[in-house]
Amino acid sequence: MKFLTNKGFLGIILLIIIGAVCTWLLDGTILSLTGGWQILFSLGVTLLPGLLWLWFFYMQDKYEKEPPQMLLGVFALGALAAFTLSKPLTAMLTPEVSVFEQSLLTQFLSSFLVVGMIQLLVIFLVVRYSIYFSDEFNEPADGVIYSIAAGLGFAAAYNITYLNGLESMNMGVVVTRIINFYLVMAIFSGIMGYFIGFAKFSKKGNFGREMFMLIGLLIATFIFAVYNVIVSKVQIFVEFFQKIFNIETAAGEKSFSVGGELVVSSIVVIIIYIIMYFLLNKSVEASPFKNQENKPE
Amino acid sequence: MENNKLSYISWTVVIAAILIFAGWFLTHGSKANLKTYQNEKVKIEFEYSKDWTNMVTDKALDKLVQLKNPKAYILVNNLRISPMGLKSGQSAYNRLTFESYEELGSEALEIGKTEGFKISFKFVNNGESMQACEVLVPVSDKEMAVVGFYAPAAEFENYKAELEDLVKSISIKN
Repeated sequence: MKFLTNKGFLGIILLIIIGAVCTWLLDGTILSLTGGWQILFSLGVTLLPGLLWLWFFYMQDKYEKEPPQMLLGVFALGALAAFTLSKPLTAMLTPEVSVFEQSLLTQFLSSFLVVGMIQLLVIFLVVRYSIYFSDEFNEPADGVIYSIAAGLGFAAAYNITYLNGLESMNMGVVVTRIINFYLVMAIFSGIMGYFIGFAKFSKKGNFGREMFMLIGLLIATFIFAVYNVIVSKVQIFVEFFQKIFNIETAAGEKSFSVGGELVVSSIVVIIIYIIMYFLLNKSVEASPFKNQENKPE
Repeated sequence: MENNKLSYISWTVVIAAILIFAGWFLTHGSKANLKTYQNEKVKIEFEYSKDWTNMVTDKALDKLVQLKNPKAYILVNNLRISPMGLKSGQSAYNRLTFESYEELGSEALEIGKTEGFKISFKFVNNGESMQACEVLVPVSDKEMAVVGFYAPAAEFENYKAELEDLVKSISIKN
């Protein structure tokens, strides 16, 4: 139960609490901004939690911390790749029908093989073709840290686009969405990054390394798809609790609230984070800089 | 670690690209002019033109879908059936929901083996006069799907043929 005192875990709990408080206080508060104000607001609201989250993960790397400028560089590359690769590819290749209307199988296949695969492949490309070859990538945990940085940059780009595309913002929904997307992208990228980190330092040759990275990409994408399906079926869980506690909803009244989504996705995120915590811990402990004498100048 | 041993060629990218293509092949929809809206939860489906854009902006799941083209919109809701009954309950609900609600007429509709209702009405939205048609489809003893078609009153006639096709295409999936 060591993870309960881990900074990353406490960071997740903090973000979930902020999300819950904002949802509770701000749901229904509509904000309409235009032009420069909207851009400034969306940059502030989206970048702040992303950078805070990046700092949380930066603190996890206890033996040899990465240069902040490299992390910010990978964060920026993640954002750039989201705009230039992921968004156009996803728009081109995803089914026109919304996920809420697809059959469970189509929804899963679309989340796994199209949306998830594109998004995580783009994050993979950022790490694989930039920092992977750098001397700064010098311990297995760096795979996790840099992948999370790329994933957070990626999420920042999506969040900024999401906010700028809204004519008016229901602040409760907006804050929940932003926090959720950062959390899930950081965690899925981190799981993939664990495999990238171990692949780079594997002695199995390039083919073996590639297979290791491919397994990481597939596992992260599979969890992404399962998460997406669960969250899109969140009403089933809400109805289950309504039945248990005998909560009646009047005709015409919303039977689902943003809070419901936050609760279900928070539970899933915490479970996935615990898995990632053990992976991150394992890669940090595999650091060649564990003994301080090995620490580079 | 000697980085010069690392390869620039990534099989992961190649395999992922193949998987994305396979995913697209398995999930991409029909290229015909009509798209089919299907909802697994309330088991209804209908056809609409490809010109309509899906505008679902939040996950409020009683609002199943919102389609827009460009001034009119189709909204599908999943609501509880009022104790007042299918048609009377929805009329009462609309009277409370819409500004200057004025019912133009209603008629019973056979949707498969189920009896539904069609309500036509006018209302005012942000100062603009609107006309609407809602089809009420009971999906269980307690719930119904409401397929609503809303357009500016001045342009409602332009959408009439499309609305009729949409209403005819509504069916309940077995």
